[in-house]
Amino acid sequence: MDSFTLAGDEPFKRSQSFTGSLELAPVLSRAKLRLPAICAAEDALARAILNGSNGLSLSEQHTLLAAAGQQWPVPVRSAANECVIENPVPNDSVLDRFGRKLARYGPWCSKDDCDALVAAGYRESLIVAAVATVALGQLRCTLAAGLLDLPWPESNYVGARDSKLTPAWKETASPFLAPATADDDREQSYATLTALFGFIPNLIRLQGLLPRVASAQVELLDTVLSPEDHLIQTQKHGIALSLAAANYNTYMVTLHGEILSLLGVDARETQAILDNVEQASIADGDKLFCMESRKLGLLPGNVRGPLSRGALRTAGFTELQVGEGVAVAALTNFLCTIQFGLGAVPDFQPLRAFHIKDLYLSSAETRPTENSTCSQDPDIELVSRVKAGETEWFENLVRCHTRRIFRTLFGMLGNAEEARDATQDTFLKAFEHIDKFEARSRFSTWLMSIAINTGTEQLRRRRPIESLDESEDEKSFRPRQVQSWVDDPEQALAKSQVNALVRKGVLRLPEKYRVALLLRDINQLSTEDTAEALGLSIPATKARVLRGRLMLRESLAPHFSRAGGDRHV
Amino acid sequence: MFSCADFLAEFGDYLEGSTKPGIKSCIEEHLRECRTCKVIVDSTSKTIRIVTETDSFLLPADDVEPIVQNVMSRVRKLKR
Repeated sequence: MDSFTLAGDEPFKRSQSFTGSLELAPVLSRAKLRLPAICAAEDALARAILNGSNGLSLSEQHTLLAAAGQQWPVPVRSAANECVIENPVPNDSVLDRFGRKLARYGPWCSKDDCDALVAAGYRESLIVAAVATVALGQLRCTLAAGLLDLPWPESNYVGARDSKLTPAWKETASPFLAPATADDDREQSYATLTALFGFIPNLIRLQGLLPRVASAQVELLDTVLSPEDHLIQTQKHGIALSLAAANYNTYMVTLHGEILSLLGVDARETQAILDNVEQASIADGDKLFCMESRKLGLLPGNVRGPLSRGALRTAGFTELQVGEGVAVAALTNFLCTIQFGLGAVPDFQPLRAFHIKDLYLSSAETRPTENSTCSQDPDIELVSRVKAGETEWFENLVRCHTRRIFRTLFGMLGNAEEARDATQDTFLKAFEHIDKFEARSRFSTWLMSIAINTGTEQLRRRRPIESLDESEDEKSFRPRQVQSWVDDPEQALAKSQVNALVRKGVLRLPEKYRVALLLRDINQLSTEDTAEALGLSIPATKARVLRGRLMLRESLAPHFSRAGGDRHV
Repeated sequence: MFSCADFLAEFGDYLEGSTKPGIKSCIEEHLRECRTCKVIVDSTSKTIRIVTETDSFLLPADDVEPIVQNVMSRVRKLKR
């Protein structure tokens, strides 16, 4: 039976007798690759998750690992979880159904599934342990599928998704559990994370009830992603981004997109990896690795199959590079599963938000529309919680929007220190007035309009600053610099010089054009969102954006024009 | 006859790719004839590309967390 309609079931009361825990040898040790640090981190993670003190019994661990294994061909799951004796018939307990749903239909998981476990007697730390155990099963199967020479039956190559068995989509509050409060153990692992990412991902915070499990994940993250002995970090995060997209995981796509941005990867390149990696301007070998990694994805309905290690070696990758790439893929599947199970909300503005429609690709499948508009604003659940008095969730909103708000205010005020203060003031005003936010626009747009008002008030307190031709109206403006530009202006000067020119040019624009340009081009808001934040009509917004662009073009032209005199229109 | 002034009036939509089909063909015909407007299209597109990719107003990653913690500390005081 493969039904996931949990509501209304008679609660399954779990056994209170624990019989120890499983021990599984690292899959990497069987692959005979010289990646001892990753192998040790894999082992430590398995030990932390399968530790009996987490509260799950041996049979429950069996059930959850078997649930993960069910999504992979028999040779793969047998190799990955050699000591797991599969139940010939699923035991159909609440935990078994939870595990199978999480493993096969992760994006469909909702708070209701966690609530069903709570109703069956599972406290929150046990739910974290259950999610982590399924995720461990996925990690081990991914490693086995990627690194061991195993037969992969043709029928399993294209994972079938049976529309009759696909669970109904349910939009519920996220995250599904509350994050644990801080303690010393967690702070230690958080320090590693802060060094690694510069922040503490929500995904890890949500596992704070099991600090050893969270710490072991941090160790694996650090060991897999940080070193550049074989693959470099941009290659690793490219692989992870590509696979997270194949898994339709908004959270992980956002995380890796943000890290790629911090590593200096062009946003267009990141988008290309998401849209069609073959069109991305990365090396051909890296494209191949991204495409191969997607075959190790979790979701049925996508092309799945064994990794073509031979093709990767032909493309120039060494065995150790392939091994590292597979470890990245396994880590990605692990973290995607944790996110699906706990419902962690993205740490930043999502780079790509996957919606219900993405999950129903076959025309034969019903495309549910229930509450589909709720997912239009990724912040709405957090805002609801803050409104309900759960103030600590406001921290996620602040972290998610700080950089965008700062960028706008720095562009308005021209002074980083003042922009920092104004950014904080913006968030405080938003918090004080959050009850007045009625979700008519997105929260991010509402927040931006507060930032603009804050910046404008500050500018009003100053003396007028120098600006370009403020007296001219939109219609009378005519471009003056009409010398043709060099083909590749970004290459004509050092990046720091280009940045300085843009900063100077933007700051010299009259305020109304500057703000429009900051929102539309630097923050890359849509015209509609820019208009909403500015409180202007669409035509008026378009006129201001165009004027800002043309005026900035005038100030940049002398630096990027080909040699020769100016002409006037 | 589509003039440079007509072109500038439609230029905003043209840059956004939202020009009506009939107007778009007039613009393209004008650009084949008018070097000056062609330069404006090219240089404005490059301006947008430069400004879109700029790091000019970026907040360093290490500076995010102190702002978050300051805001939350003030939020907690407000709540009391």
